[in-house]
Order: sequence, then C-alpha cells, then structure tokens
Amino acid sequence: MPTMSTLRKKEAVSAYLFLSPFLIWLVFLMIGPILAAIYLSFCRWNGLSSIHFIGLANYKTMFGFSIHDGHISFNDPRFWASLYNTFYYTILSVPLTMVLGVVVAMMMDQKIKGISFFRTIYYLPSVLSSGVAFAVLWKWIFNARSGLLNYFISFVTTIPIDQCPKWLASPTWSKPALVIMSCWSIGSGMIIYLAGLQNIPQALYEAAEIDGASRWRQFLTVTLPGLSPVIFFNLIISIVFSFQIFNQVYIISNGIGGPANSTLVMVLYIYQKAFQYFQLGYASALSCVLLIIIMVSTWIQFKYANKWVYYEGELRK
Amino acid sequence: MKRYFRWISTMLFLAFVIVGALETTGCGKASSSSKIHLTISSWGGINENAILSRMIGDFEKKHPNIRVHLERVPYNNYVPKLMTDIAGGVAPDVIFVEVGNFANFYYSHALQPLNSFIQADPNFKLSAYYPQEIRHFTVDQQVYVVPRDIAPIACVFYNENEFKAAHLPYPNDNWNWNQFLYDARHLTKRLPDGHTTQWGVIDDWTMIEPWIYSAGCQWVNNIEHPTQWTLAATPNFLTAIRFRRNLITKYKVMIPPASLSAIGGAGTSDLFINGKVAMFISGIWRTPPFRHEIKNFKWNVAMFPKGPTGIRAFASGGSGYAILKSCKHKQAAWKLIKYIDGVKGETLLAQTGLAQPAMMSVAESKAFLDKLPPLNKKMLLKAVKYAIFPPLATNFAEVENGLVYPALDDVWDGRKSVVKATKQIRRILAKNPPRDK
Repeated sequence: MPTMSTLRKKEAVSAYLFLSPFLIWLVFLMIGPILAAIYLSFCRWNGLSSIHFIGLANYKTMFGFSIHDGHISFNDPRFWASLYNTFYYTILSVPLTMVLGVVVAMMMDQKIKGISFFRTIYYLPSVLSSGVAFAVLWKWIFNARSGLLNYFISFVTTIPIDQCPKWLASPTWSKPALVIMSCWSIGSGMIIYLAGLQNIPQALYEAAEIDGASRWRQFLTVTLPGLSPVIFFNLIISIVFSFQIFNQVYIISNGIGGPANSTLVMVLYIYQKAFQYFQLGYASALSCVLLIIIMVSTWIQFKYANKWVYYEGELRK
Repeated sequence: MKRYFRWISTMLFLAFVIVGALETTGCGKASSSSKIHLTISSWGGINENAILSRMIGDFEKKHPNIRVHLERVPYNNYVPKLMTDIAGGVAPDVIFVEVGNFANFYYSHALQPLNSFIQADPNFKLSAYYPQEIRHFTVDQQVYVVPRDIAPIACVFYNENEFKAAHLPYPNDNWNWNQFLYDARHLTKRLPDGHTTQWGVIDDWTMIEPWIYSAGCQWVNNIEHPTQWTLAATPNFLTAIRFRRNLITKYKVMIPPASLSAIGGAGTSDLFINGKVAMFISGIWRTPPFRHEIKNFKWNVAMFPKGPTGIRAFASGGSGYAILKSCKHKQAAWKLIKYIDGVKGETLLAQTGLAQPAMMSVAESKAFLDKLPPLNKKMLLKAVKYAIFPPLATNFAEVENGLVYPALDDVWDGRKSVVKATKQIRRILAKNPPRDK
C-alpha cells in the first residue's frame, strides 16, 4: 500500500502535467518575450539587422527634455501625448463603465418575466466589442455632419448640427468619443456583477429591512460591501484592459492616432514605432514603461483593497 | 480514477509538446532534397496575386527543379509579418519592397545587391525600366530592387458629366492651381441654406505632397543622401499649405475633415464613385474599382495642376522585387524575379489597369494604354519625369506621418494658423534630422 507522501507526489505530478500546457505557454510565450522585451529596451534594433546594445539611450530619449525660453521641449512629445491620452481614457472610462455595469446589473437582477431576454440584449454588444465592425459602426455614429449622435443632440437641444461636437475629427472631442464608445461593452462587467449580486445572502437584506434601513441604505451597507470582491476584480481587469486599448483607436483613426495625436494611445504608439517606423528597441522600452505602469497600478489596488473589499466569512479587527 | 487522471494529463502534455514541436520545426510541409524551395512574400489584392500565382505556375513549369511558395500578406500587416519572419529565422527569399520603405531595408543591409546577376545575364536589360525608379533603388551604384510598377500620385480623376453640366471644358494636362480652383468652385453645388450637396474636390487621404512639391518645396536637401529637412524652409511651404486649407475653409470646395472622419465608414474614393465629389486626387491604382463601380457617369483623368510658378511635381509610389541576403538560392531567386517581372508579368499587370508597369515598353503598349477609362492614362507616361520619390532616410515615414501631418491637422479646419504650424514644423524638423540608421 502506497504511503501518504507517495500519493501526494503522484497527485502533484498529475497536477503539473495538467498544468503543463499553460505553464509551457506561460514560460515560452509570455515570460520569454517579456524578458526579451526588457533586454531589447536597452538596444537599438530595427527588426531587420543585428541588435546593438545602447544602454539607457531609449529611456533618455523617452523621458528627456530641454527648456528653451521658459518652454519645456520634450525629446519625444508623442510619448507624452500617448501617455496623457491613455491616462485620460482610463480615468474616465473605467469609473463610467463600472458604474454603468453595476446599475445595469441591478436592473437585470429583478425577478420579472423575460429578464433573460434583456440580459442577453445587454450582454450581446460585449461579444462584438473587440471587433472591427463595432468600431466602424461607431465611426458612423460619431460623424460630425451625418452621424446619429449629432442628429440626436441637434434634435433634443435644437443646436444646429454644424455647432455640435466634431467628435472624431476634433482633438478636443475625440477622446470623450472613445470613452463613450467604451460604454458599449459594459455587458461583460454586468454579467460578473449580476453573479455577485445573486451571491449576496437575502437574509442580510431582510435583517437590514427589519432594522429600518431604506433602499439606499441597503445599497450602501449590504449591496456594495457584498459586491466589493467583484468590483475589485472588475476594477483590476478594466484598468489593465483600458491601458491596453488598441483596436478601437486603430480603426477609428486609421492607425494614425489623430487628429493632432489626440487618440494616440500607448499601445498604438508602440505598434507604430515597432512596425511602421522599424524601431523595435524603442518600442520595447515603451512596452516596459507600460508594463511598469500597469504593475504599479495593480499593486496600489491590492495594497488598499483591504480597506474596502469584504470577503464572505472574513473576520475584521 | 487517479490512474485515468494521470493518463489523461500525460496525453495532454505530450499532445501539446508534439504540436509545438511540429509547429516550430515546420514539419508537415513537403520537403524534397533534390528540389530548390523558394518563398516569395507579397501583399497585393486578389487580382495581383492571381497574376503572381499564374506567373509562378509558369515559372515552375520552365524550372521543374524549383518550387515556389507564394506567401500573401495584407498590405497593413506586410512589414510586421516580414520583420517577425526575419527575426524568427524563417525569412522569405524574395520580398516586395516599395519606394517608401526601401531606405529601411537598404540601411539594414538586408537586401542582396543585384549587380552581379544583372551583369552576368545578357537577357536582362535594366534599361528597360524607368530610369527614375532604378535610380531610387540604386545606392552607391548597386541596384537592390527590380521595379515592378511606378505610381506617380498625379491623377486628378474627374467626372465628365459634372464638367459638362457646369459648362466647363475638361481639364487638360497643362492646367494650373487657379484653373483647378475655378473648376472646383463651379463644380461645388450648394442648397440655398448653404448645405453642400456636391463637393468640387477631395484627395484620397490628406496629402500635402502635390501641393508643396508644385509650390517649389522639397522635403530634403538631397534625396539620395539627405542631411537636412528643407520642407518648411521657404515661404513656398506657406503658399502650398494655405492653398489647400483655403480649398476647405475659404472656398469650401473640399470636404472638411469633420465630414471625412466617418462618412458612414466609406472611403473618400466612394464619394467620387457615388457622384458626391467631382474631382478626386490619387494614383492610378484606383482604376479597377472605378471601372467596376462607376455606372452613371463618364470619367477621365488629368495630370495634377502646375503650381503658381509653373512648377509641375508630385510624389510617387512604386514597388519591386528584391532578394534577401539570407536567401540560400540566390541564383534561383534571381531567375524568379526576372521571370515574374518580365514582359509577360508586366503585361498582365498592365491589363488589370491597377498599376503603371515599371517596364517602359509595356507602359507605352496597348496593354496599359487600352480603350477603357480613363482614356487619358497616357499622361502618366509624361508624369514620370515630374515624380519625386521619398528621401532615402530611415525616419522619413515617422517624420512625415507621425510629426508633420499631425502638426497640420488643426490647420485644415482653421483652428491653427499656417504660420504657427510652420514654426512648429520647423522646430520638429530641426530636432529630428534625416537618419540613416
């Protein structure tokens, strides 16, 4: 009869064998390229010829600046523009999509006839959200002169169409347009919130009601804390994805990031540097900066999570 | 039960490893040691690739010991895919290079000089191709690319019916900016409330080159060995940019960017096809869809107008075949290039109407100058001598598309003055000199 430790060993071998496809993928297709990108970020490489180690030169170009007549002149102003655009998009789109996701999930958490149909309808756009079709559709909606959105604004407010926002053609309105586009895919978050809402014990609501808590009070003291692990999960995923926005921007700006660099986000800039301008070393340095930003942002979220995230059965001092 | 688990997990692991190994070693592809295997990589549309496939089939019949694999990659993904292949050690043998990215390939020392093949081959005449394009693909007297087509961006496609309706004579190849503007103003139709129902002109994409070149500007001090950007150095630049801006903001004959960003997802050429624009500035590659889709009006093409001082100039595209240095069978690759880029291949290309062949005799033949619209295609034969190729600088694409064009975006709808944009462009160009690395 095998000993306990032998059984454990066999179980461990089985576990690792099951995990092996993922582990091989992780090591060779994720960690390997990440390490290569870190090394390449210290090199000059155009992808066609040999790699030259140049130390910190890429980072010096990226972060370098000079001051002339009181004006700061960046060595690579497009890097700063892409950084600003990415943060702008993340800061506006993540809270907006999360709030809308929770609101729609609460609406979908009703026990009424045909609710499954509505859940499907709200979730459906998420299935299309990474595709080209939805970006093309939004391109049409945002058309300054013949788009649906400006027709609607003009109809409701009586502002002439010529004076409505120029959306994708305007450096001022192109980023808000991207944020509005991001609301299209709230369905994927909604499904997770819905699952979270259905996991909150009904007894807590009943107890709150007996204690005289209003609906709003119940939402603040029962729903939100109960939903906090799900909100935390969605927050991390949403921020990571929004830092990596690419498809929509590529389609609506024809890969340029215009007008006037107003939709040039980090990943689009990395793509341009690597595959349009043959600067893979510099593109790797940009990728490393993006990696660090995402890692720091995620670390901060985990660090402060215990202040607002409540897990079932958790004991707090 | 546990035994089953272990068996399943082992099989899963083995399957993953075997599939991965097959993928990386390229197993599964038929291989024969007696035959030479070449890979040619090309972008091109369905018609172009059909021609290439046919030429390759013929080539294989003539050379039974050579097998050619055609790798077709969409235009936008061509360079990324090629770079990945080269970095991964599975580079093709013959590649398609265009005038715009030649500098990057040349300065990377990725291309095989072709002089030794050309000199040793009495059947190949380099002089058969447009010398302007040969010059562009030649550095230090070494030829690196055999041109396939040349593409002066000199075409002003026009709607003949609209010219007739506006009682305007058709444009001739001698017209100038003022006549162009006159025509554009008379071709623009507005309702009493100011709403435009038909525009005078639109360009294929926001393009400044034909305006700045015909105003007398040059991108660089020396196209073959650029050391300095000269684009915004003279007042001619202001003249060119002001003229294009005025077409949009002052005369309102060109569609403003606000309308262009998303005309229902349609491209600018669709506006010409649908009769919403009377003149369309582009290159000859627009011919096949125009032939296929324009049913309601007659159309033709004129050469881009002369500038204020009578200068005639415009940018040119063009592409050709090159052998990568990593190719193991260079002689066979040379035979392939020579065959697909010979008279037959060039004639088939000319018959599609898609491109102006780089081989002069074919460009001047009936295969290209056929009886199909646009009937004035012969103007392209003259246009070649006014065509200006991109400077041989590795950062030209970035400076042009990433720095200069964005600085002008706000000019086109009047949000930024031309003078302010010009100052900004001068600063940008001073900080980013032409590079050869």
